[in-house]
Amino acid sequence: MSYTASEFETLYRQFFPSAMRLAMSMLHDENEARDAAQEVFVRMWESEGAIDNPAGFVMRSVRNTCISRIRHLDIRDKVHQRIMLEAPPDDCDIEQMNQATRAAMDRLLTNRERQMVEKVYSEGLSYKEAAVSLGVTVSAVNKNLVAAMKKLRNHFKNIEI
Amino acid sequence: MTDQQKDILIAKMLESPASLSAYEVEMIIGDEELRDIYDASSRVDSALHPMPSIDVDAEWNRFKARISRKRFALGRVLRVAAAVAAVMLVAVSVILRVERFEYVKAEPESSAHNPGARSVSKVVKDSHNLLVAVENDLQAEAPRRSVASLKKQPETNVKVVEEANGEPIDIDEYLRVQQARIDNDLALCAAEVYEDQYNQIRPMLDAFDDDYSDLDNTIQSVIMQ
Repeated sequence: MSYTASEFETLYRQFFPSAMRLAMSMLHDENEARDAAQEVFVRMWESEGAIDNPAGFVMRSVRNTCISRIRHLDIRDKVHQRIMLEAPPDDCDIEQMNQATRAAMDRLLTNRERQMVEKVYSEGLSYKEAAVSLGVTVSAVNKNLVAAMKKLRNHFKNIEI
Repeated sequence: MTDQQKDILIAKMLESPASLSAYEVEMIIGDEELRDIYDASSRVDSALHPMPSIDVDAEWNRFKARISRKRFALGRVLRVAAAVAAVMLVAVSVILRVERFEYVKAEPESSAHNPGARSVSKVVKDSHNLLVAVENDLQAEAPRRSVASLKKQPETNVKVVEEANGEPIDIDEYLRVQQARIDNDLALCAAEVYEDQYNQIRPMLDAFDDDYSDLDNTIQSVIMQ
Protein backbone atom coordinates (compact mmCIF):
# COMPACT_ATOMS: atom_id res chain seq x y z
CA MET A 1 0.00 0.00 0.00
CA SER A 2 1.51 3.35 -1.03
CA TYR A 3 -1.03 5.74 0.56
CA THR A 4 -1.87 6.46 4.16
CA ALA A 5 -5.47 5.77 5.15
CA SER A 6 -6.40 9.46 5.20
CA GLU A 7 -4.70 10.15 1.84
CA PHE A 8 -6.55 7.28 0.26
CA GLU A 9 -9.86 8.41 1.72
CA THR A 10 -9.34 11.83 0.14
CA LEU A 11 -8.63 10.21 -3.24
CA TYR A 12 -11.64 7.95 -2.91
CA ARG A 13 -14.04 10.77 -2.05
CA GLN A 14 -12.70 12.86 -4.90
CA PHE A 15 -12.77 10.31 -7.72
CA PHE A 16 -15.37 7.71 -6.82
CA PRO A 17 -18.41 9.73 -8.03
CA SER A 18 -17.04 10.13 -11.57
CA ALA A 19 -15.89 6.50 -11.57
CA MET A 20 -19.35 5.39 -10.53
CA ARG A 21 -21.03 7.51 -13.22
CA LEU A 22 -18.80 6.09 -15.94
CA ALA A 23 -19.44 2.53 -14.76
CA MET A 24 -23.19 3.20 -14.65
CA SER A 25 -23.19 4.51 -18.24
CA MET A 26 -21.49 1.32 -19.39
CA LEU A 27 -23.07 -1.38 -17.25
CA HIS A 28 -26.56 0.14 -16.69
CA ASP A 29 -26.81 -1.51 -13.27
CA GLU A 30 -26.08 0.27 -9.99
CA ASN A 31 -24.71 -2.74 -8.07
CA GLU A 32 -22.53 -3.90 -10.94
CA ALA A 33 -21.26 -0.37 -11.47
CA ARG A 34 -20.41 0.05 -7.78
CA ASP A 35 -18.61 -3.30 -7.71
CA ALA A 36 -16.57 -2.43 -10.81
CA ALA A 37 -15.64 1.03 -9.46
CA GLN A 38 -14.69 -0.35 -6.04
CA GLU A 39 -12.57 -3.04 -7.68
CA VAL A 40 -10.43 -0.30 -9.21
CA PHE A 41 -9.95 1.41 -5.86
CA VAL A 42 -9.06 -1.90 -4.19
CA ARG A 43 -6.29 -2.26 -6.75
CA MET A 44 -5.13 1.27 -5.98
CA TRP A 45 -5.15 0.48 -2.28
CA GLU A 46 -3.05 -2.63 -2.81
CA SER A 47 -0.63 -1.09 -5.33
CA GLU A 48 2.97 -0.96 -4.21
CA GLY A 49 3.96 2.36 -5.73
CA ALA A 50 2.31 5.80 -5.79
CA ILE A 51 0.21 6.52 -8.91
CA ASP A 52 1.28 9.66 -10.80
CA ASN A 53 -2.09 10.57 -12.27
CA PRO A 54 -4.78 9.04 -10.06
CA ALA A 55 -7.65 10.68 -11.98
CA GLY A 56 -6.51 9.26 -15.31
CA PHE A 57 -5.73 5.91 -13.72
CA VAL A 58 -9.17 5.63 -12.15
CA MET A 59 -11.10 6.50 -15.33
CA ARG A 60 -9.01 4.24 -17.57
CA SER A 61 -9.19 1.38 -15.11
CA VAL A 62 -12.94 1.70 -14.63
CA ARG A 63 -13.48 1.71 -18.40
CA ASN A 64 -11.25 -1.35 -18.87
CA THR A 65 -12.88 -3.18 -15.98
CA CYS A 66 -16.35 -2.52 -17.42
CA ILE A 67 -15.26 -3.55 -20.93
CA SER A 68 -13.89 -6.79 -19.52
CA ARG A 69 -17.17 -7.49 -17.72
CA ILE A 70 -19.19 -6.70 -20.87
CA ARG A 71 -17.09 -9.12 -22.89
CA HIS A 72 -17.90 -11.91 -20.45
CA LEU A 73 -21.64 -11.27 -20.44
CA ASP A 74 -24.09 -13.56 -22.18
CA ILE A 75 -25.86 -11.94 -25.19
CA ARG A 76 -29.23 -12.24 -23.47
CA ASP A 77 -27.92 -10.48 -20.37
CA LYS A 78 -26.53 -7.69 -22.54
CA VAL A 79 -29.83 -7.20 -24.36
CA HIS A 80 -31.81 -7.27 -21.13
CA GLN A 81 -29.65 -4.44 -19.78
CA ARG A 82 -29.42 -2.58 -23.09
CA ILE A 83 -25.66 -3.00 -22.99
CA MET A 84 -23.75 -2.66 -26.24
CA LEU A 85 -23.37 -5.99 -28.05
CA GLU A 86 -19.81 -5.27 -29.14
CA ALA A 87 -17.48 -4.01 -26.42
CA PRO A 88 -15.93 -0.68 -27.46
CA PRO A 89 -12.26 -0.72 -28.47
CA ASP A 90 -9.71 -0.30 -25.71
CA ASP A 91 -8.79 3.22 -26.80
CA CYS A 92 -12.39 4.42 -26.95
CA ASP A 93 -13.28 7.40 -24.79
CA ILE A 94 -16.68 6.47 -23.39
CA GLU A 95 -17.55 9.96 -22.21
CA GLN A 96 -16.68 11.39 -25.60
CA MET A 97 -18.89 8.77 -27.24
CA ASN A 98 -21.76 9.71 -24.93
CA GLN A 99 -21.31 13.38 -25.68
CA ALA A 100 -21.41 12.64 -29.43
CA THR A 101 -24.64 10.70 -28.94
CA ARG A 102 -26.26 13.56 -27.04
CA ALA A 103 -25.11 16.01 -29.72
CA ALA A 104 -26.60 13.81 -32.46
CA MET A 105 -29.89 13.62 -30.58
CA ASP A 106 -30.00 17.42 -30.23
CA ARG A 107 -29.31 17.86 -33.93
CA LEU A 108 -31.42 15.12 -35.53
CA LEU A 109 -34.47 14.58 -33.32
CA THR A 110 -37.58 16.72 -33.15
CA ASN A 111 -38.56 18.22 -29.82
CA ARG A 112 -41.30 15.63 -29.43
CA GLU A 113 -38.97 12.77 -30.19
CA ARG A 114 -36.33 14.14 -27.83
CA GLN A 115 -38.94 14.57 -25.11
CA MET A 116 -40.10 10.98 -25.40
CA VAL A 117 -36.55 9.63 -25.48
CA GLU A 118 -35.80 11.54 -22.26
CA LYS A 119 -38.93 10.18 -20.56
CA VAL A 120 -38.17 6.55 -21.39
CA TYR A 121 -34.36 6.49 -21.20
CA SER A 122 -33.41 9.23 -18.78
CA GLU A 123 -36.35 9.05 -16.38
CA GLY A 124 -36.89 5.29 -16.81
CA LEU A 125 -40.66 5.56 -17.44
CA SER A 126 -42.65 2.89 -19.18
CA TYR A 127 -44.45 3.74 -22.45
CA LYS A 128 -47.71 4.06 -20.53
CA GLU A 129 -46.21 6.34 -17.86
CA ALA A 130 -44.52 8.49 -20.53
CA ALA A 131 -47.79 8.74 -22.43
CA VAL A 132 -49.66 9.87 -19.32
CA SER A 133 -46.90 12.32 -18.46
CA LEU A 134 -46.95 13.92 -21.91
CA GLY A 135 -50.68 13.64 -22.47
CA VAL A 136 -50.39 11.44 -25.54
CA THR A 137 -51.22 7.86 -26.43
CA VAL A 138 -48.94 4.88 -25.96
CA SER A 139 -48.98 4.42 -29.70
CA ALA A 140 -47.65 7.96 -30.18
CA VAL A 141 -44.81 7.29 -27.75
CA ASN A 142 -43.90 4.13 -29.62
CA LYS A 143 -44.05 5.78 -33.01
CA ASN A 144 -41.82 8.70 -31.96
CA LEU A 145 -39.28 6.46 -30.26
CA VAL A 146 -38.98 4.14 -33.24
CA ALA A 147 -38.53 7.13 -35.55
CA ALA A 148 -35.86 8.56 -33.23
CA MET A 149 -33.92 5.31 -33.11
CA LYS A 150 -34.01 4.87 -36.86
CA LYS A 151 -32.63 8.38 -37.39
CA LEU A 152 -29.82 7.74 -34.93
CA ARG A 153 -29.12 4.33 -36.44
CA ASN A 154 -28.63 5.92 -39.90
CA HIS A 155 -26.43 8.63 -38.37
CA PHE A 156 -24.14 6.14 -36.59
CA LYS A 157 -23.93 3.96 -39.71
CA ASN A 158 -22.87 6.97 -41.79
CA ILE A 159 -20.19 7.80 -39.26
CA GLU A 160 -18.78 4.29 -39.53
CA ILE A 161 -18.75 4.50 -43.33
CA MET B 1 -40.28 -11.82 -40.50
CA THR B 2 -43.09 -9.49 -41.56
CA ASP B 3 -42.94 -5.74 -41.07
CA GLN B 4 -45.63 -5.96 -38.44
CA GLN B 5 -43.68 -8.57 -36.49
CA LYS B 6 -40.62 -6.36 -36.77
CA ASP B 7 -42.49 -3.33 -35.44
CA ILE B 8 -43.76 -5.33 -32.48
CA LEU B 9 -40.27 -6.58 -31.76
CA ILE B 10 -38.79 -3.09 -32.03
CA ALA B 11 -41.40 -1.69 -29.64
CA LYS B 12 -40.68 -4.45 -27.12
CA MET B 13 -36.91 -3.99 -27.55
CA LEU B 14 -37.11 -0.26 -26.91
CA GLU B 15 -39.63 -0.29 -24.08
CA SER B 16 -38.75 -3.37 -22.05
CA PRO B 17 -35.72 -5.30 -23.31
CA ALA B 18 -35.64 -7.32 -20.07
CA SER B 19 -38.86 -9.04 -21.14
CA LEU B 20 -37.43 -10.31 -24.44
CA SER B 21 -37.35 -14.09 -24.71
CA ALA B 22 -34.27 -16.00 -25.85
CA TYR B 23 -35.94 -16.53 -29.25
CA GLU B 24 -36.71 -12.84 -29.64
CA VAL B 25 -33.12 -11.95 -28.74
CA GLU B 26 -31.92 -14.32 -31.44
CA MET B 27 -34.27 -12.69 -33.94
CA ILE B 28 -32.89 -9.26 -33.08
CA ILE B 29 -29.26 -10.37 -33.34
CA GLY B 30 -29.94 -12.16 -36.62
CA ASP B 31 -31.56 -9.18 -38.41
CA GLU B 32 -29.25 -6.34 -39.45
CA GLU B 33 -31.82 -3.55 -39.13
CA LEU B 34 -33.01 -4.75 -35.73
CA ARG B 35 -29.46 -5.16 -34.53
CA ASP B 36 -28.56 -1.62 -35.65
CA ILE B 37 -31.64 -0.17 -33.94
CA TYR B 38 -30.68 -2.06 -30.79
CA ASP B 39 -27.16 -0.58 -30.96
CA ALA B 40 -28.59 2.92 -31.31
CA SER B 41 -30.87 2.26 -28.34
CA SER B 42 -27.90 1.01 -26.32
CA ARG B 43 -25.88 4.14 -27.11
CA VAL B 44 -28.78 6.38 -26.11
CA ASP B 45 -29.14 4.46 -22.86
CA SER B 46 -25.43 4.93 -22.13
CA ALA B 47 -25.67 8.66 -22.85
CA LEU B 48 -28.87 9.24 -20.86
CA HIS B 49 -28.88 6.50 -18.21
CA PRO B 50 -30.29 7.83 -14.93
CA MET B 51 -27.55 8.26 -12.37
CA PRO B 52 -28.24 7.43 -8.73
CA SER B 53 -27.45 10.13 -6.22
CA ILE B 54 -24.05 9.28 -4.76
CA ASP B 55 -23.67 9.55 -0.97
CA VAL B 56 -19.89 9.73 -0.69
CA ASP B 57 -19.85 9.00 3.07
CA ALA B 58 -21.95 5.85 2.60
CA GLU B 59 -19.80 4.80 -0.36
CA TRP B 60 -16.62 5.24 1.69
CA ASN B 61 -18.05 3.12 4.51
CA ARG B 62 -19.02 0.43 1.99
CA PHE B 63 -15.50 0.44 0.61
CA LYS B 64 -13.95 0.13 4.09
CA ALA B 65 -16.24 -2.82 4.82
CA ARG B 66 -15.11 -4.47 1.58
CA ILE B 67 -11.45 -4.00 2.48
CA SER B 68 -12.10 -5.40 5.97
CA ARG B 69 -13.84 -8.48 4.56
CA LYS B 70 -10.91 -9.03 2.18
CA ARG B 71 -8.43 -8.70 5.07
CA PHE B 72 -10.53 -11.06 7.26
CA ALA B 73 -10.62 -13.66 4.49
CA LEU B 74 -6.86 -13.38 4.11
CA GLY B 75 -6.45 -13.61 7.89
CA ARG B 76 -8.61 -16.71 7.97
CA VAL B 77 -6.44 -18.31 5.28
CA LEU B 78 -3.33 -17.45 7.28
CA ARG B 79 -4.83 -18.87 10.46
CA VAL B 80 -5.78 -22.12 8.73
CA ALA B 81 -2.31 -22.33 7.19
CA ALA B 82 -0.75 -21.69 10.61
CA ALA B 83 -2.90 -24.40 12.20
CA VAL B 84 -2.00 -26.88 9.47
CA ALA B 85 1.69 -26.02 9.84
CA ALA B 86 1.47 -26.47 13.62
CA VAL B 87 -0.23 -29.87 13.27
CA MET B 88 2.38 -30.98 10.74
CA LEU B 89 5.15 -29.79 13.06
CA VAL B 90 3.72 -31.79 15.93
CA ALA B 91 3.26 -34.85 13.74
CA VAL B 92 6.86 -34.66 12.54
CA SER B 93 8.06 -34.12 16.10
CA VAL B 94 6.12 -37.12 17.37
CA ILE B 95 7.33 -39.30 14.50
CA LEU B 96 10.93 -38.33 15.16
CA ARG B 97 10.59 -39.08 18.86
CA VAL B 98 8.91 -42.41 18.23
CA GLU B 99 11.61 -43.35 15.74
CA ARG B 100 14.29 -42.45 18.27
CA PHE B 101 12.45 -44.52 20.87
CA GLU B 102 12.29 -47.50 18.53
CA TYR B 103 15.95 -47.07 17.55
CA VAL B 104 17.06 -47.03 21.16
CA LYS B 105 15.05 -50.17 21.93
CA ALA B 106 16.74 -51.99 19.04
CA GLU B 107 20.27 -50.69 19.70
CA PRO B 108 20.67 -50.01 23.39
CA GLU B 109 24.57 -49.96 23.35
CA SER B 110 24.69 -47.31 20.63
CA SER B 111 22.63 -44.84 22.64
CA ALA B 112 25.14 -44.36 25.40
CA HIS B 113 24.84 -40.54 25.14
CA ASN B 114 21.09 -40.55 25.68
CA PRO B 115 20.21 -41.12 29.30
CA GLY B 116 16.47 -41.44 28.60
CA ALA B 117 16.95 -44.16 25.98
CA ARG B 118 19.36 -46.07 28.18
CA SER B 119 16.80 -46.06 30.94
CA VAL B 120 14.13 -47.58 28.69
CA SER B 121 16.38 -50.41 27.58
CA LYS B 122 17.29 -50.98 31.20
CA VAL B 123 13.58 -51.36 31.95
CA VAL B 124 13.30 -54.18 29.42
CA LYS B 125 16.37 -55.96 30.80
CA ASP B 126 15.43 -55.49 34.42
CA SER B 127 11.89 -56.65 33.82
CA HIS B 128 13.12 -59.88 32.33
CA ASN B 129 15.66 -60.45 35.15
CA LEU B 130 13.03 -59.77 37.77
CA LEU B 131 10.58 -62.23 36.26
CA VAL B 132 13.24 -64.91 36.12
CA ALA B 133 14.29 -64.24 39.74
CA VAL B 134 10.73 -64.32 40.99
CA GLU B 135 10.07 -67.54 39.17
CA ASN B 136 13.13 -69.19 40.70
CA ASP B 137 12.13 -68.05 44.19
CA LEU B 138 8.66 -69.32 43.83
CA GLN B 139 9.84 -72.65 42.57
CA ALA B 140 12.15 -73.02 45.56
CA GLU B 141 9.96 -71.86 48.46
CA ALA B 142 6.29 -71.98 47.49
CA PRO B 143 3.85 -74.23 45.77
CA ARG B 144 4.42 -74.19 42.04
CA ARG B 145 2.65 -71.28 40.23
CA SER B 146 2.60 -70.62 36.52
CA VAL B 147 4.79 -67.80 35.25
CA ALA B 148 1.87 -66.73 33.13
CA SER B 149 -0.15 -65.84 36.26
CA LEU B 150 2.76 -63.75 37.55
CA LYS B 151 3.12 -62.04 34.23
CA LYS B 152 -0.49 -60.95 34.48
CA GLN B 153 0.63 -58.33 36.95
CA PRO B 154 3.33 -56.64 34.95
CA GLU B 155 2.64 -53.20 36.34
CA THR B 156 3.59 -54.09 39.91
CA ASN B 157 6.74 -56.02 38.91
CA VAL B 158 8.23 -53.59 36.41
CA LYS B 159 11.52 -52.22 37.58
CA VAL B 160 11.75 -48.46 37.82
CA VAL B 161 13.86 -46.61 35.28
CA GLU B 162 16.99 -44.77 36.27
CA GLU B 163 17.72 -41.43 34.71
CA ALA B 164 21.19 -40.09 34.17
CA ASN B 165 20.90 -38.00 37.33
CA GLY B 166 20.23 -41.16 39.40
CA GLU B 167 16.69 -40.20 40.39
CA PRO B 168 14.36 -43.17 39.84
CA ILE B 169 11.33 -42.48 37.58
CA ASP B 170 8.50 -44.74 36.47
CA ILE B 171 8.20 -45.46 32.67
CA ASP B 172 4.66 -44.12 32.65
CA GLU B 173 5.82 -40.94 34.27
CA TYR B 174 8.58 -40.69 31.68
CA LEU B 175 6.06 -40.94 28.83
CA ARG B 176 3.80 -38.37 30.50
CA VAL B 177 6.74 -35.96 30.76
CA GLN B 178 7.59 -36.45 27.08
CA GLN B 179 3.96 -35.84 26.08
CA ALA B 180 3.92 -32.66 28.14
CA ARG B 181 7.06 -31.47 26.33
CA ILE B 182 5.44 -32.11 22.96
CA ASP B 183 2.31 -30.19 23.99
CA ASN B 184 4.44 -27.32 25.18
CA ASP B 185 6.37 -27.18 21.89
CA LEU B 186 3.10 -27.15 19.97
CA ALA B 187 1.73 -24.28 22.03
CA LEU B 188 4.92 -22.24 21.58
CA CYS B 189 4.93 -22.76 17.80
CA ALA B 190 1.29 -21.74 17.48
CA ALA B 191 1.88 -18.66 19.65
CA GLU B 192 4.81 -17.56 17.45
CA VAL B 193 2.77 -17.92 14.27
CA TYR B 194 -0.19 -15.97 15.67
CA GLU B 195 2.11 -13.25 16.97
CA ASP B 196 3.79 -12.83 13.55
CA GLN B 197 0.45 -12.67 11.82
CA TYR B 198 -0.91 -10.10 14.29
CA ASN B 199 2.22 -7.94 13.93
CA GLN B 200 1.82 -7.95 10.12
CA ILE B 201 -1.73 -6.65 10.14
CA ARG B 202 -1.47 -4.42 13.18
CA PRO B 203 -0.48 -1.21 11.27
CA MET B 204 -3.55 -1.51 9.05
CA LEU B 205 -5.79 -2.21 12.06
CA ASP B 206 -4.41 0.83 13.86
CA ALA B 207 -4.93 3.03 10.80
CA PHE B 208 -8.57 2.02 10.46
CA ASP B 209 -9.15 2.27 14.19
CA ASP B 210 -8.02 5.90 13.98
CA ASP B 211 -10.39 6.57 11.07
CA TYR B 212 -13.34 4.96 12.83
CA SER B 213 -12.50 6.90 15.96
CA ASP B 214 -12.45 10.19 14.04
CA LEU B 215 -15.75 9.41 12.35
CA ASP B 216 -17.33 8.42 15.64
CA ASN B 217 -16.13 11.64 17.26
CA THR B 218 -17.54 13.66 14.37
CA ILE B 219 -20.93 11.94 14.70
CA GLN B 220 -20.95 12.51 18.45
CA SER B 221 -20.15 16.20 18.02
CA VAL B 222 -22.95 16.56 15.47
CA ILE B 223 -25.43 14.84 17.81
CA MET B 224 -24.36 17.03 20.72
CA GLN B 225 -24.98 20.25 18.74
